[in-house]
Amino acid sequence: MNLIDRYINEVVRRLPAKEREDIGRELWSTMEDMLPAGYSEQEERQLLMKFGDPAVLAAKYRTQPKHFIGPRLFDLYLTLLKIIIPIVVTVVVVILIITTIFSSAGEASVVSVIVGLIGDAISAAIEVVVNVFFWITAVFVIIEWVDRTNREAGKPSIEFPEKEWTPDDLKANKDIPKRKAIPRSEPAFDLIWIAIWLSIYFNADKFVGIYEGGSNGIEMLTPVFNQSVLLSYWPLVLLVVILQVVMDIWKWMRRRWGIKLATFNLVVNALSVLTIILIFRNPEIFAAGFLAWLEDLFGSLSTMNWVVGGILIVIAFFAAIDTIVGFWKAAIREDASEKSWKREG
Amino acid sequence: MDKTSWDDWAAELRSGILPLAVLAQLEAPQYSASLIQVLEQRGLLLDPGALAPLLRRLEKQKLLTGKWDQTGNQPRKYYALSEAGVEALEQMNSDWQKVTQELQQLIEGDGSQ
Repeated sequence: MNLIDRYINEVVRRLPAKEREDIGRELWSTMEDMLPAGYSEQEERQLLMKFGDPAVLAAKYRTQPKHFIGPRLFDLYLTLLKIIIPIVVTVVVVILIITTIFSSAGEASVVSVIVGLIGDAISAAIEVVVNVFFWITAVFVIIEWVDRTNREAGKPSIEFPEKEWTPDDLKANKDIPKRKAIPRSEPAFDLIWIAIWLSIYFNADKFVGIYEGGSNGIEMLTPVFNQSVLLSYWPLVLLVVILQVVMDIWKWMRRRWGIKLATFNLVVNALSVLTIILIFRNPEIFAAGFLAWLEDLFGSLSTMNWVVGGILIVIAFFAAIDTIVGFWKAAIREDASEKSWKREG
Repeated sequence: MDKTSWDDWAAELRSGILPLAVLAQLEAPQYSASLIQVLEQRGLLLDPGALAPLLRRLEKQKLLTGKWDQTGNQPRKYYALSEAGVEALEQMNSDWQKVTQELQQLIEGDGSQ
């Protein structure tokens, strides 16, 4: 086997099997023709040097470069990852929180439930990210592979529902000014937050209480709330939660403050604060055991009223700030941060 | 002048016009080694390895027909223009003439601007 044969083998082994025979014959005939009759190895070497690296020559036979995920698909791939991963992680964590709190209520101490929940949430989030990443990537690699095979066989490549780009597209995906924008993480964490509070609300007598280290670990002396009284407010609580969820979905989709969203925020905040005040104004909301424990500790219940009143004022204060910030951000002009390239003079 | 970018440009220019050069040579059938020789002599082909993939692509696009000739002491593949190849050559030639004319006027600055 001479050098030319070896060279041609190096080229064709990098090419599709059904083309190897033809290409090999063509190359061999060309190279033999370019050499004088009875050539020496020296002349053979010079010729091969002119043709260069066989891998580079093989690449010239491929009209389209090989991509794992090609440039046509890559943008779509990144966009989908950015949208799907946060949604899936949020949904999984919310479901995990709700199921954990409902299923473990009354079994273990609140500390162990929370510690277990944090660990579970982190591992579930990682697992789901790895899974989603893998499957989306796998799907795109398959699409790319099918598309490349099609093109190499001379069939038209896959059409995307994408329209041709026009200047109108510039208006649609304007950059949202930083100060006006709502990051996707905000509604996501808010939903997790709502899930935690809602679960605690329905299981307050099992979680919210006065704890004391006893003979078999931490034990609950008395729950803080009177569960049946607390639960009697459920239609109001559920209304607030539904409005909150609607607002979070709205925030997720719009990704910026607007006057309508700020007004909705005002309504939801006002209703939330009213609900909390209504619940805590009810003297029967606290469990008798909790009140007795307090009286034991402080001698009287008068400080209790001050503390509750103080907490309510703080809650109302933060709700007011949140509402005002919403309107303030809604007032920022949409094109405030748009960079203009026009220069005077 | 940056030497390497200049070299790249010269190579890119030649690989851009190579299909036209090849089609223009194939009104009578030729085999690839003789094509390489002609094009290299005229300085139009810097890398002989580029020709075989191009011939194959043009043949796939049906601009060329390739026929093996077994009569000599070794087989040779002769390439010739197909009907579609003749049309493509005319089109490419007129494009090329237009580009070189306009470019020439730009470079010389004939005062039309």
